[in-house]
Amino acid sequence: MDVSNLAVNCAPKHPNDLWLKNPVMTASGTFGYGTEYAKLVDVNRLGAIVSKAITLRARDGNAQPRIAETPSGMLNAIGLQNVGLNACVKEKAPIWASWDVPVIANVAGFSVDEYVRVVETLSATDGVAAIELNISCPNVASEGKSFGLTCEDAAMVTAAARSVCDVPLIVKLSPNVTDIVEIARAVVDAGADALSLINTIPGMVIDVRRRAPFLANVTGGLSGPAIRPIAVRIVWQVAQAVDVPLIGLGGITCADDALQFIMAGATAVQIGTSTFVNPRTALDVLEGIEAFLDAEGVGDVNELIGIAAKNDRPARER
Amino acid sequence: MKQALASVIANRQVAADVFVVRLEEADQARDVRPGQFVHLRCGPTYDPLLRRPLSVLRTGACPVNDLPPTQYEVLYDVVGRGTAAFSRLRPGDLVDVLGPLGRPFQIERTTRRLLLVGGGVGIVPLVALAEAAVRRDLAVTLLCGFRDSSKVFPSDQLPAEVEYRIATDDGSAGQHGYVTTLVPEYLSWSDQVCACGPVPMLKALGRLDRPKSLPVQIAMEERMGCAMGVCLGCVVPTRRGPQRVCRDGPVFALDDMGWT
Repeated sequence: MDVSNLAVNCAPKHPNDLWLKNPVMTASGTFGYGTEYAKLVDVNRLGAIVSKAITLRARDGNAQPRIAETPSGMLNAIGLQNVGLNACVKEKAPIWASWDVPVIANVAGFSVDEYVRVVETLSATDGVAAIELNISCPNVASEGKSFGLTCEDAAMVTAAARSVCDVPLIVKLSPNVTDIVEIARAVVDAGADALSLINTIPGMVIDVRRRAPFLANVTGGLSGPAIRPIAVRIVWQVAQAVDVPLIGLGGITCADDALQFIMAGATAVQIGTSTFVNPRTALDVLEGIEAFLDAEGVGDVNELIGIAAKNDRPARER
Repeated sequence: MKQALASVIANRQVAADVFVVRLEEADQARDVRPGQFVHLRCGPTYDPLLRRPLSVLRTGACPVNDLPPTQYEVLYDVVGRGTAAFSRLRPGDLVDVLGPLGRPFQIERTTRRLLLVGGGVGIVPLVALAEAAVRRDLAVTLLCGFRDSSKVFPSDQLPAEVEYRIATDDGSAGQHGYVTTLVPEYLSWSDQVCACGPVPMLKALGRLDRPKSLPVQIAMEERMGCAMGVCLGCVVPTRRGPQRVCRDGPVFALDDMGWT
């Protein structure tokens, strides 16, 4: 049989579209600026690369310890350390522009104005295919409450970014909310072309010998296989409620994990923490999806998006 | 640097809960330099999740030891589930190893008398460095502190040319107290110092009076995620700004750390 189609469009509502040659990307914060893994991974085989979060000014990040291993997962509290907007435009974007693989710039900020300035500049920068908005950051104007926690704040920052963004705009949602479906609807109504689901889940480890919080930042974001079922459930719920593409992430280690997200409703997936464990994970996932489509006689990966909703009884009963 | 399956040749205990595993992977054995480390996956599952960074103890590529040139050794202290899994490795097992990684120690061209200062498993990269230095006919003194006599790295694992003195926290072997009490008498003798150990030891080393011209390199130990420079889990502050221990280090100039 012919090779199955793997191409997906992550922004069909946007005039540029966001066509990826396959649905496998690397997640923000786990693949640096794309150059660090180049010796081990042929980056041009990836569907897309999502950059480390970029903020207006360079940031030094948090004190040590910044990471803690947890059962099948890890906590991180890096503190958005990054080179800042100017260095990103001058030093990183020219490299991205020379690659075949699209690079999606992840953007973080502490005020609406900061988001706007970074998005406006990056969306007009050669080498940036799309913007992924990290709205889990503390809003300085709102007593440090994260933008992603309420429909109003999430919609406000999305609309502000949308108004200055010429490339597709993806909004990455925090799972740390009462009803993520409401937030997803608000963000889509405010102009998001796609949603990334999910950001890390806040967590904490106590060092019992020191009788104190383990991380210098006290709390951190939980990632890795431990959060996968939560992420799959959220993709499933949001897929029933909005009509933009979803990008699923959270603990994907192999093709079957990725296919769970796709069958729950994701158009594409991101590989995050697993890259630390096995740098080849994204390519293994890609090859595994190809093998699955081939073995199952599926001609196009798009046929599998959200397919579990059409078979929504447990497999055992059928 | 590569990701490879290395085969376990031997896995022997050298002190209480301290093991040395000998691995066969020709490229890694050839390429590794003293101070560099390898990043070992704990097993085929994702729990424990993260790889463990282990400094290379010696490589057969350095003809001072009797290892074949395709083999190298790493040392680990069993402190948790990951290192406990390493202690169960048997000859013939395969381990997923990323490396060698990080910036190695640099022996200055003018160095003739090299002073090495270690704390606990911080001795590991210093053994590799001692072997490289002996091969270059340098005079080498290795001072190392341990918790107690049960944790002491055995002297027969070092080249005979190396002067090896130890200190223990409880006085059960060697000098009673911290290794830094042994250091002052060697500071005027040595023309280069390299050290590895816990940060309090490195800071104490930095506070010792030493000739301004005496260069001191340190290898930092830090918890790591990716070890490829992307997760920023191992970043430490320095006078040159935040630096990644995995990629910008683990070897730094002591004076760059901004400790007083």
